[in-house]
Amino acid sequence: MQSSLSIEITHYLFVSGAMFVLGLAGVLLRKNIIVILMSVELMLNAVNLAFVTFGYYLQDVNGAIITLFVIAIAAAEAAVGLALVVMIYKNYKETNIRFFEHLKG
Amino acid sequence: MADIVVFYIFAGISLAAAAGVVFHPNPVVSVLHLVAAMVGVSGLFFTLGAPFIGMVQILVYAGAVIILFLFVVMIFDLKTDGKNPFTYGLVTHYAKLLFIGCLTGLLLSKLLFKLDGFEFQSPDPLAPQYEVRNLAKVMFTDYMFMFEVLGLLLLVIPIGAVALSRVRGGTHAE
Amino acid sequence: MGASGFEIVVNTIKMLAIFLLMVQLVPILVWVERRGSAYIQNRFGPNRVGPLGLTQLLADAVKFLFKEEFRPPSSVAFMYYAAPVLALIPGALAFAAIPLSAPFTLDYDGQTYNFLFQSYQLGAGIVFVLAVSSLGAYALLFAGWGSGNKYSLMGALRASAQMISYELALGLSLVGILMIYGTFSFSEMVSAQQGPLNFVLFGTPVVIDFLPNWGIFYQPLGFILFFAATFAETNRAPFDLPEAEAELVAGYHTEYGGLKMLMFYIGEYGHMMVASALLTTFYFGGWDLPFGSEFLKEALPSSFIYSLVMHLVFMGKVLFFLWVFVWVRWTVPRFRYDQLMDLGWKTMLPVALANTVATAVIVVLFNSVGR
Repeated sequence: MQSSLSIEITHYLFVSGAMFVLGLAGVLLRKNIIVILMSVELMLNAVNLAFVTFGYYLQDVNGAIITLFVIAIAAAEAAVGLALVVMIYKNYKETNIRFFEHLKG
Repeated sequence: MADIVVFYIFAGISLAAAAGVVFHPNPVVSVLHLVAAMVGVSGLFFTLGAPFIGMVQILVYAGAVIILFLFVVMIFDLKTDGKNPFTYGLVTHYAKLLFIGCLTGLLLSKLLFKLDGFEFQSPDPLAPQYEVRNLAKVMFTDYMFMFEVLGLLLLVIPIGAVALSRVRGGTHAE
Repeated sequence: MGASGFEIVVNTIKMLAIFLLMVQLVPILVWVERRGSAYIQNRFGPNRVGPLGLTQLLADAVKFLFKEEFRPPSSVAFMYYAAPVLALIPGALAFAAIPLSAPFTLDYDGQTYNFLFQSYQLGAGIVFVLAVSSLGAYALLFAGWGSGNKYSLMGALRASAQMISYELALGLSLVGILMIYGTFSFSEMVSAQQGPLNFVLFGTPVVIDFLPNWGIFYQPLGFILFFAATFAETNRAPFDLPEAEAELVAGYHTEYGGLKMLMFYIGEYGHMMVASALLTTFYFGGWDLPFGSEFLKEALPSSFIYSLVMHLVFMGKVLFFLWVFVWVRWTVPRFRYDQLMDLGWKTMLPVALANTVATAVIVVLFNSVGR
């Protein structure tokens, strides 16, 4: 174990891992579709943090590049996801994920 | 010493805010927690010697994506999800909790023991590898194809979003 | 950041002075706005308190301080009180990252220290300023939602939709100037704009002596786009839809009074100051004085005094743009909301893209424009 008086790679990875697990818990457990989308953003952020951390400690620029790509794709994903949510809400006045079972063909 | 304090402040902000997103029953408060989480992660990027990534994070996430979320929540005027914002099933509930617990255990065990197979250095905090110039050099040579595909994606996505959410006849429909 | 005590003291004083400079300009701007509007509309304006009505500001400040503190019963306490504070932060943070004058040196205890005339310098300062000012939308949304009033909410949603839409045009109009100077740093950009206009045209260097080497001569279209987008970003007329009083009472700050209202004002004027400082830095050479700066550098006794003089030059340019903001507000009528969105998405965005592509082609063809 490293001494607790300096910041090592495991500290950052712990934050990243904890954030990922929290995001996963949100996706699996919450019933509001908008909060689920937000939890997905949290998970993406946790992964970004891990990428930048590894890039920093391995002296490698690729981590940062992938992070930029992930940020761009996350923005796109949020836009389409929210458009879908808006359409469903407009037609059915419902954001509970349980309701979405009725959308089965 | 200072870097330790800064790290714990930003790590605390991001984790506490992430917990707030997941556990607070009111979606509006969840969105505000999400902003705090993004700012905290951006601060961590600054401590990792990647200020440009941190700024892009604030610009894209806090400045655009989360405002979209806030818009949707505010326009819908969502009430809180009540005392119980979580889904319940007979079996699935326990299966989900078990899955989350397993993942937590796996991550913790991996972190607490050892990261094999990598040569980690303690880098110079002012290492120039994350300067915008270097990022651009790699991005526009090695990752050129990915960049082009991303551009195509960003063209398709707005078209899809508009097609999904547009009202027939536009805003001036009779 | 300096390691020695002297550097820490000077840097602290500098940061405080720059913040106070921003805050103290606000009452003067309010006076300029009121007198300017009166001048444009052929009225007198406030002229009773003090010479030219200048001490009207003090009277206003006292009035703001002694207003009754209240909160509407339907409001959300945290958001209602957080919004005015949040309105202040982006302007203050962004203004602190812009270089206000030439760097200077001070001698102390036998050593020479170098200082920058800005609170802090970041490698990618332009991205920082854009990122911080994009957070301004939260103050509006907090105010709108926290007031618990549907007019406030409508105003806030309008305002932030407008800010997001014009942020695209704003960012894209900057890409041209970034490509020409090849840097994200304000200081490098200002030092690239010194001297007479010179560039390489098909391999032959061209020098035009009577024009300064300012960004506006390389990016006239970018300047116009950026200039128009800043009006939308600061929620000023002709883009002041969020406060359209005929439709929305007073928009997102309907429920605010007294000191909280004042903080929104400081935020708005802070945004204007940041916008003017950015316009000056990108397109008008920052603190560069086109003629006689060499002479001044020789004539003035120390680099600190030279720095102060150059700061006056910078502030002169900034004040000119602030006057333009006031001038436009009282001259141009307000857009309709769909016209505003059409202008942003269907006119400014394509033109900004075209400007980007054209600049890229020119930079590649001439290879070394402006350097």
